[in-house]
Amino acid sequence: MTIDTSDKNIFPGYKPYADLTELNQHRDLLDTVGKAALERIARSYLDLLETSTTIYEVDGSYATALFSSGYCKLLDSASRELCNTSDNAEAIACGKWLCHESRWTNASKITIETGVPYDLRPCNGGLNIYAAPIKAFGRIVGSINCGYGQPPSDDKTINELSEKYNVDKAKLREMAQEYKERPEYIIEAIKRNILLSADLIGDIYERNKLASELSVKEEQLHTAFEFSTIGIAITSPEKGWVTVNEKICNMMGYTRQELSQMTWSEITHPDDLKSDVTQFNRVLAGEINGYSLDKRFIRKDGSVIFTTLWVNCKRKDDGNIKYCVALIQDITGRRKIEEEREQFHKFFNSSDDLMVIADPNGAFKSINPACMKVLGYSEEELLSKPFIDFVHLDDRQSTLDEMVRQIQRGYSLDFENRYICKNGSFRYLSWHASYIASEGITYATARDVTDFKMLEADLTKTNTERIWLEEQNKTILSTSIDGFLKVDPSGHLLYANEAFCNMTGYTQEELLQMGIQGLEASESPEEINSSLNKTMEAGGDRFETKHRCKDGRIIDVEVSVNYSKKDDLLFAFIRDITARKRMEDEINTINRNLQKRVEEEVAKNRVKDQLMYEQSRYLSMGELLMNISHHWRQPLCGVALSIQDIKDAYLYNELDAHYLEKNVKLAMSELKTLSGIIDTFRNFYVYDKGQKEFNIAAEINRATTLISEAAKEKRIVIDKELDEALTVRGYPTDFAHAILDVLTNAMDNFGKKDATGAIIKIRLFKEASKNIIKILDNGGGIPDDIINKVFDPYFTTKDKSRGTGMGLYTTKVTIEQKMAGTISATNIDGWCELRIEL
Amino acid sequence: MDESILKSIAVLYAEDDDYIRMMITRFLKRRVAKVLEAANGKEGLNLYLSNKDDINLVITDIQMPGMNGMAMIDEILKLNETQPIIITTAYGDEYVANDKVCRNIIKPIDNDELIEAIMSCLGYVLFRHGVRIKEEGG
Repeated sequence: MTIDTSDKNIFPGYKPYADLTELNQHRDLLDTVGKAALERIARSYLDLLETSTTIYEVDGSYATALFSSGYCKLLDSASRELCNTSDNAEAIACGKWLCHESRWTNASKITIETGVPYDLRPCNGGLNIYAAPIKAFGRIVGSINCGYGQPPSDDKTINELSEKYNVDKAKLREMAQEYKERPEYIIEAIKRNILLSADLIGDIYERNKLASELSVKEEQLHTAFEFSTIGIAITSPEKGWVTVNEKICNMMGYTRQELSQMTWSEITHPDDLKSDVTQFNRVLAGEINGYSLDKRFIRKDGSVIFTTLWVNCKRKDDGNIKYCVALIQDITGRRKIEEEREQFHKFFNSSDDLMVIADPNGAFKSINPACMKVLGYSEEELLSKPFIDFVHLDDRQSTLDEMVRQIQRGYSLDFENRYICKNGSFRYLSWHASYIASEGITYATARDVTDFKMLEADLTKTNTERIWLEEQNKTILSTSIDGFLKVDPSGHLLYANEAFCNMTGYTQEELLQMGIQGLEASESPEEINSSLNKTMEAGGDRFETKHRCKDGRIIDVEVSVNYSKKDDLLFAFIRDITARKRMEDEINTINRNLQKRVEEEVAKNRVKDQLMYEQSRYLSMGELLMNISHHWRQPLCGVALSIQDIKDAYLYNELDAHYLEKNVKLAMSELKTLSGIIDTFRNFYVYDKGQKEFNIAAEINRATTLISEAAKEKRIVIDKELDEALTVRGYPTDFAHAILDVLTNAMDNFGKKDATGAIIKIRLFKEASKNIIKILDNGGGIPDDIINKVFDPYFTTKDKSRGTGMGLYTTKVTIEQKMAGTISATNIDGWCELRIEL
Repeated sequence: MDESILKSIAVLYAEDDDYIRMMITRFLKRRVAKVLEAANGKEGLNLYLSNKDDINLVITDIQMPGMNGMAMIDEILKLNETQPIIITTAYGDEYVANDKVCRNIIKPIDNDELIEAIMSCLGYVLFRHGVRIKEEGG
């Protein structure tokens, strides 16, 4: 309760009570508009009336309560006493607080409920109360009211009131008389003032609410701005930093204060300034509203950061820029990685050394262009198979051994092997490799050392030649096991070593009398002369010929001859290759025989294969007959019964033309069925004339028709879900046979007898551009140890009487070779699944 | 034994093929007092249950949808272990006659063979168990 400071009526008997606004839990008007503002507004009209006024929250809580007149104050405090409690909340609730009832229950509460002003005449204390609702945002947020009018002065009313309120009559009369009546026009003006006050409070309420919401939003935006992991800046059209967040400061290394004195162009990397300014000028010119680019900034410490920048502008009404928003992301780390990667790629791609990364399976994962250049293969070729396949046959074992060592040690150093090039030649490669055990990956470089190797070999050769020349003397030649001759250009022998003498049976003396014409057994003297000339022109020759010995034998010799221009002499080494020749002949004979035997074996195998094929044909014929017999049995029985029935009817005197007609019709119908079955089967075994586009479901249905009766017999359910629209190019009958083989195989899985509960599921559908056929049976699946063998020829798990072993093999051949598809078998939860992909 | 004895017997005949059933039923009806037709084991068993005292002979196919002939025979023999039963099967090798079954006739059915089998089964039962064939109307 606010005590009116201007109150001149602090009188005896007045019992003040605690401020009612303290009970206010709602605190909407009270907190939003403010206690002081509410009181100031209330006092603006109350000072004119000097009665009492109250402002309520929408739930009836007191936001303001002022008492100016002694009369009102007396009756209010008296009726508060009537409540007989010290607790204000209880007093308000008890209904005996007559003045509260007049202010709230009978006045303000009504305005809140109706939304329109209310004039209560008279109130419990004999005055009147004018109340008006307070509205904000289109709803009611409270109520304002004020007492007015002349207190009663007649004895009767005074008596009644003093009794009702339990106050002293004299005091009441005194207070009533003390109040000076206000003229009617004042009261009317004050009512308008009350309405105005309600509007004013509503306006203040709305404004304060909006302001507080805005401040919350601003705080959120500020938080987002400051805590962003991306740099955010507001910049001016003059390129100045207006506002920056903490991230920008960290990125650039400047404080906010420092940045606010700078422009962004000052700290932009000179090489990136032009592109940024060009774009910015387009924004200034109104061509674009924003742009994005990668650019570098120079930090305060002089280092460079790479960023991605997004700029967007906010324009004024006249189109000029008000400010710009720049988002800057530090991509220095990413750039560094990219650069490193780029460098590595350059290194990898431009190296003359071979660089490879090999996977744990021994295949190249990645190779550099040098590999292609040195070995001559394309990248696909090199990646397509294990690298050991490219290693020279003679070096494969050592390479494999080195790989084992490499895995143990973790590296290889200077390991040399030969790689076969695409053109058939080979290159010597010297390898350095690291093996990363955790990844199973090998990183290796190799240098092509072929030229070096060749040089090394040449050096060795040159050296040998020198030694040979130095030591070419008769002693060596005489001890040589090869014959040696010195011959003049006309063919005369000037020297022959001991080995040649031994070889031919002549003495040296005899030989020196002879020319090579006398020795040569396969060429005429003219031919010999022409050969000599050719040899001298060419500087040397190597050939095989025949020499005649002293005893008349003809020996095979290999001649290596050199012509020394300086000496004008021919030097010839002659080796007796008679034994070698004979061996070669023998080997040739053996080879010929071997070839013959191989051919014979192949022929035998062919016959065997033919027999197997025949056998498999008989067995499939057996299957075929079995299937036909299943189809035939019932109709055949029907025909047999029809015929017997005619005889029976005759014996029983029932046979007449009509009876006969009926029976014949029935029998013919059965016979037609039988004929149709034969057609179905015959068509099934007509060979395909060539490839054609065919409907897959139709062929599957053809195959299932054949086994339908046998399946029914064994109580096997065939459950088909086929996409009837799918077609494929190939051999329809071969395909149907393949399916029949799979189905027969699946049926056999259920054994001979009744297989109640047995199901064969056939599914046909499209999956990733492939036609998928799944055939599942619950016949127990295939044991894991043989699942890989089911497509082998002659493999069977059935007893001899049933198993052909060819069924799934021929299926595989049809599907994979004729139809270019795949077939596989798996066990899935007790189901055996055959999957065909076409 | 005289074929006229058949005039007083009732036969339960189960066969799923409509045509065969029609023909055999026609054949039987000319010779026996009553033929009860069933298209599967379940129907056959139900007819047997409701006409147990009348039926003298059961003739049944083996392969039938739902309850097959073997299952029906097992149930019938539980009710009457001396019930004469003849089976008609498509495959002599595949279904070796149950030892409780009187005769196995292989399709296509020869009417003479069927009559012979019926007579033999009824006689066997008469001889072995002394079962009296109910006199029609007597």
